[in-house]
Amino acid sequence: MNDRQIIELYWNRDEQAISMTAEKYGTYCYSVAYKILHNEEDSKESVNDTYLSAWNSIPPHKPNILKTFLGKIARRISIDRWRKKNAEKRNAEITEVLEELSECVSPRGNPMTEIEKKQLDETVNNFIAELKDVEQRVFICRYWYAESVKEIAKQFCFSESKVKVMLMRTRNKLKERLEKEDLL
Amino acid sequence: MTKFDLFDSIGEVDDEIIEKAKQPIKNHRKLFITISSVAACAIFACAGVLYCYHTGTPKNIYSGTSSAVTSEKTDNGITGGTSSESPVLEDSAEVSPEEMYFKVYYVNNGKIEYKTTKTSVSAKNVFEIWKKENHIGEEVKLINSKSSYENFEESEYEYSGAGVVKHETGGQTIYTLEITKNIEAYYEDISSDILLESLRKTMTGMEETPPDDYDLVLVDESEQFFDDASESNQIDSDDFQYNDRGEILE
Repeated sequence: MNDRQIIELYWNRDEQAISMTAEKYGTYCYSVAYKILHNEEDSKESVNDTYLSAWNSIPPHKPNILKTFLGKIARRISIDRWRKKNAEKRNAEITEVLEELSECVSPRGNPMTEIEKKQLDETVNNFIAELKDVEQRVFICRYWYAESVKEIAKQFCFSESKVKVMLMRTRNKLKERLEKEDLL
Repeated sequence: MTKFDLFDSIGEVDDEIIEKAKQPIKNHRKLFITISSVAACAIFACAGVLYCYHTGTPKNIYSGTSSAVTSEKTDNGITGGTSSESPVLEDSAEVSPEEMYFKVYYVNNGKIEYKTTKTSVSAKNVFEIWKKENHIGEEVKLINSKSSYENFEESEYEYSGAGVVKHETGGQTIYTLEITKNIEAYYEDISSDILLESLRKTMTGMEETPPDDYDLVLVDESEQFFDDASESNQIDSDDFQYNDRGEILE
């Protein structure tokens, strides 16, 4: 069954949409969740919550790419679950990812308004879209998929130090961009 | 702004960018290794041909038969061909793929269940794990596995309340799996429907994007052998002489 047919099932409120989604993208959602949570049970629960969230948001949404639509939900749910459940015993990889990102934000992080949040989303999206191909892929693998530097190095046939340097430079550029846009 | 806000904003990046990040890249080092390997193979082949030419070795050095052996490379390093022997899985030549998580479906008390396993995802590995989970013996073998893409030339039109809707059908991916027919021996213990369904779910689940269609082919290895043998040993009745009583003369 192709994505369009699965989305039609959601729109027709046919519960088969969930089982078809699980069959086609269950493994993908699980891998996204597991990269963040590093726990089998929690990852499975996140994936189930992802299906429920997809069921509740389609309609009105009609995703262009169902896979990444589900991946985004799984990622969002997983990071929320991680924040709630693992505030103390934190998984090393996601902690590292967040610590690296904290270099790009001001030490005293103030709550953001909806408008600021929207502006931030737009700035970050434009920034990532303007990156060179390899930089963009490495950045997404690290900060979207929460992959380890070792995994990324293996995937791109780079040394780990090259990946680290590339990420550091990209973070610096992002910080400059956020400052320029008065978001810091 | 906090690090979580930034992490969330990165999460909202365009779908195409997320999708592209996981697609294979043209890596110069990989390209160099590939070109070097191909060049080395070409040199080796040329050297072999020259050696045979100078030493007078018969031209057909590969199979000892007159038929050309063509080999088709399919996904995951599995080869098939037109040789008289059954195609076999390539082990040593295959570059070990990256390990990842995938679901292995198995039949438990008449129901399909699954467990998540981490391994190098190749058709061979996945099939072996599936066999183990379903207590299928070594005699059942994976012969071939490939994904193909079928184009549809026509688009579909459908009338809805809002008018005529055009569906861009484009095409579909078909996953074809060939295994030995002796799996049928296990149908007595496990219902064929659910056993083969667990196989389908396992094998198609390892694809990054699962196929639109699935085709399972059961190959009878013994029949193949006898067919080949009967062809090669076929005797022309005109080669014999008979007496008046119809007996063959020596």
